[in-house]
Amino acid sequence: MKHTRAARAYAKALLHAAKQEQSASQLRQPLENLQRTLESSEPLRNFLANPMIAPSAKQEALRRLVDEEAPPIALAFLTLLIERKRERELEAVLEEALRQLDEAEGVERAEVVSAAPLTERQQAALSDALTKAVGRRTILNVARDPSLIAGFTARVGDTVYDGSLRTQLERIRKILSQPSSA
Amino acid sequence: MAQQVRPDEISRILRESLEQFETEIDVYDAGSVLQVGDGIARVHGLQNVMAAELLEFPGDVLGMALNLEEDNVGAVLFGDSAHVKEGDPVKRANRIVEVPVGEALLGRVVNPLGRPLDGKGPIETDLYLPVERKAPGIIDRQPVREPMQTGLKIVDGTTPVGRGQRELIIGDRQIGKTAICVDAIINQKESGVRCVYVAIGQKGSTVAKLVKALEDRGAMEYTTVISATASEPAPILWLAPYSGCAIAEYFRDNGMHSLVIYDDLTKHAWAYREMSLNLRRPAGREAYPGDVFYLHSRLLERAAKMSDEKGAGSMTALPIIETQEEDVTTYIPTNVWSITDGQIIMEPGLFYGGVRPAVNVGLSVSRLMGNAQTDAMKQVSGPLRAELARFREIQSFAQFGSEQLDASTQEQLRRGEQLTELLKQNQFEPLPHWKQLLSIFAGRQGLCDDIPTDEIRAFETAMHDHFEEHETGLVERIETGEKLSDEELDQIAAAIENCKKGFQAVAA
Repeated sequence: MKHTRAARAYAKALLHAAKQEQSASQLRQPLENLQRTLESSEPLRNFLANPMIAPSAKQEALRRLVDEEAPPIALAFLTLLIERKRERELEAVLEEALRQLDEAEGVERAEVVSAAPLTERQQAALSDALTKAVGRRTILNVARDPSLIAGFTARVGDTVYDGSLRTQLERIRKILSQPSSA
Repeated sequence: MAQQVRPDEISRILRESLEQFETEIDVYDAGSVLQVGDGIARVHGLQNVMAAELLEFPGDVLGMALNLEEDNVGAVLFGDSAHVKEGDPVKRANRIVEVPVGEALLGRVVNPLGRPLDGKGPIETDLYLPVERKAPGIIDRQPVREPMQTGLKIVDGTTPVGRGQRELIIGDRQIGKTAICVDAIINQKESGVRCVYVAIGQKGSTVAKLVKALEDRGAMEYTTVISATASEPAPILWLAPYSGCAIAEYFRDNGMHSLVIYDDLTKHAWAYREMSLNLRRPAGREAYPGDVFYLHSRLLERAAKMSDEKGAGSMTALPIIETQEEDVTTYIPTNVWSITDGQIIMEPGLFYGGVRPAVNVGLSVSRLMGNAQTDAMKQVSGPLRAELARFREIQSFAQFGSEQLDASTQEQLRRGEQLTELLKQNQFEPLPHWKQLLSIFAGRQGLCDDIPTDEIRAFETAMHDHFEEHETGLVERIETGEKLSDEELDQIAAAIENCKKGFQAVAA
């Protein structure tokens, strides 16, 4: 399971500490960078997960990876994580911390999948529309999936706004196969 | 035979259907499958899902949310889990699991989700009821007061069932538990009681045979059969009695009477055990989960006699429990035993000895007794149960030789044999109230004492025919169900004597 209780607790503690230092807003950039690096590098993930490697070496590696201008609390947090042998949870902790940051700042993330690439204007319009529907500022993460045929789907939290042709065709199929219409 | 296909007709229908279609954005809640197998799925997301809510999986597989945990939802699948993969989207249906109900279901064979299995086309009804409902409270009920005639002398005479009662039928396999219920259904032809038969974990062929038997006797017209055969996944078996209950409840809540048969709750408990273990719920005694008592108690509590303000409808439940080697003291039988208002105990010894229905009168109990009988039947059959029980006791030691016994015991033995013979009944031949009353009356008054035991059943038939032809006034009087006066009893006795003379003359 990706989202463990430990990840949630660590993320919460990090944000709490950052808030006290008034550095919560500067936390997003370094965390996002680290998340991206981890995602793209399998050797790094293996390196961190390997119990044969000394914690000090892992701490040193992370120190070099984290941005210069990151608030000191970020580095201190990573050091603590490794000291407590929770490096396997790092990805989950980062994801959870970013989610909690979003929540604190009143931002929603929307996973948008579209059949054709969206123009800048379309994205802005979609973002506005979703912001209105959700009642909170919405940031889009856009992906493409030609199997939708046309249109898009947007997912905010658990709620899916489905405007794809695939789903509409499916609905037509259901209506036509309904016995009551015969 | 084949109707001509008219293209313009088809395109008109298609056009009309498409007019219902609106191109708007679908908004729904969705999660994704984390893990699937053994008929259950763990789903991520679905933060706002309700307990017992219907979920839609890809491939038209439905599911039901059961375990709401901190970071995932455990759901059971009502379909083939082979169609569902990890990562598949899961939609919330925003409604609790429900089944179609109402008159449209009578005469149909459906699965526990209310989908037809009999090839007679779709079920046309707008009425739906949730499968899990709260049982009626105390204020909405009233004591059971009308009999629910099963048409079986031994049941209506010694362990009568009332409308709104829950009577357990318990015994080993293949000794006539289902037969009692089928006869009870057939006997409701004139009574207006709607019947629901729930088959849980049985063979498809057995269910087909039963449906055929009901159809041949015109009993399907007022009966719904819910079939969850042994090949269905455990969640379907688990759901079956609750859907059957919901269908029967519709009649109860609309001032009508219904009879629901759960055949059988042993397999239901097995299905629930399988499901619970797969959902990783902690196992208790015999690996059943902790709430296996609640599983059956909440189901059987829904049987009720409603108050006059609520329409005075009723729902009678006949749960069946199958035992192994006559052991009624295991977990599930004792549970259901303690929930119901009485039990009919069936014994293989009696069955193979030719006493059919093989009801053990001494151990069978109906906690409502008199309230579930007509006054006339109460008057005539009163001590029948005690007499039969005493007879079985004497019989067991009389096996060593009856010559040394005193005259009164011998008399009791003889009377007991006659009564046992009189209470035998063929399958699919439920008797109306007056015929039952006559047979029991003749037996208890000793009016058949001078007829050889092996001729008693022939005499019984002759007696019924005689009354039907010559004593219609008395038959009508008995059918009112009111208490009989001494003169009326004398008249009946005289008529039986009269008939006996004719019978003996023919036999001689």
